[in-house]
Amino acid sequence: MTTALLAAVAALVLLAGLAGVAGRPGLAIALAAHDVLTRRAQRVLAALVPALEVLLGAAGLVVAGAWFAGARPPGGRMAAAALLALSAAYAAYTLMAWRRARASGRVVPCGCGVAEGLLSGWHPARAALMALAAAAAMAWPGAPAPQGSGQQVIVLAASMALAALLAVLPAARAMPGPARPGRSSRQPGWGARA
Amino acid sequence: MSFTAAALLLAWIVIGLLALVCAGLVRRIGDLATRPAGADPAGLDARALIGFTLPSSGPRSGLRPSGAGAILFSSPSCPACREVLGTLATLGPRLVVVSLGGCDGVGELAPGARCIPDGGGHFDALGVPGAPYLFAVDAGGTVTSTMMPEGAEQVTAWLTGLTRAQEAR
Repeated sequence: MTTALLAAVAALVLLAGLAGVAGRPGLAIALAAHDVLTRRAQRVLAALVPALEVLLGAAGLVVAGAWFAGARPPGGRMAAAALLALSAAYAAYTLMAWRRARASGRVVPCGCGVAEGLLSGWHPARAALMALAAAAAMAWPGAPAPQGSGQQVIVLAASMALAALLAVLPAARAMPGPARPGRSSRQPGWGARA
Repeated sequence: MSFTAAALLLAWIVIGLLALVCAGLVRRIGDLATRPAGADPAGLDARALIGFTLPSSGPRSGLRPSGAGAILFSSPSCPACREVLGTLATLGPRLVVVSLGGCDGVGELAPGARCIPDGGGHFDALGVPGAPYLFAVDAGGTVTSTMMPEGAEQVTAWLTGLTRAQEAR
């Protein structure tokens, strides 16, 4: 079943990378709004991260496909480890950006490529879940292997369901409407429309 | 671990995620259902404008600050707005003030700032929920962050972050 976990994480990373490679400016805008890195680091990351995501996402899917077919490619653990490192980096960065934005009262975009929205605590949580899934795939590569078409269907369905749910989780948990509902009643004079 | 046990474990993880997603969606539906009739008819939320580039022509073109700066949505009858305006005075011409009424006093509190009077249409068009409300805008006219401040110290922190980000560019 770790095949399903790796496939789900790799698919999400690949989709995010493809959105960036396709020229969507979301990541560059988000990095600027997060105000965590220097401008030069923002430029470098905005250019490199989508390509890296495409590379690692595609590698992860190839390895998951091989595990699915019963093969054990030599670089399987390495691909899972790379996705683990990337997801852990996402978790650390988004946690830092979210805490910084929250401390200064700003609302900033996530820049996640898939299901774009406003940065919330659910983005680091999702990245942590992705890191856990990649860690499980690294620890038990392709195990337990599916035997027969019935079990293969279960693996396919599980990977697609997991990828879809991880993709929409932060957007589904986000709350629309005013940034901080009810503040005007707590602090008259601040946030009240005259 | 057998395949069946692993599949069962993964199924419960997926069910847990599904429950979180469903709970979030139900909460959003509940929020929409309890909004007062007539409020925010377009359903537009100013926060959704992050990443939006303000037009350089047309009725909203006047909102773009000259260079990277900020837009303050303000009201003459709002003491907090005057406090925010004083804090943002260092932005000078890079500050645009959109007022629900007149522009009296803006020049004294924030010399160099450009004020747009009777800007209620801008509030409605951009989904600004109240005053004071702040947009950070980069040199290309793209909205990079928004904030409805809860206090003066929050505005100071926001301005510090804005200045630091612009200096880094």
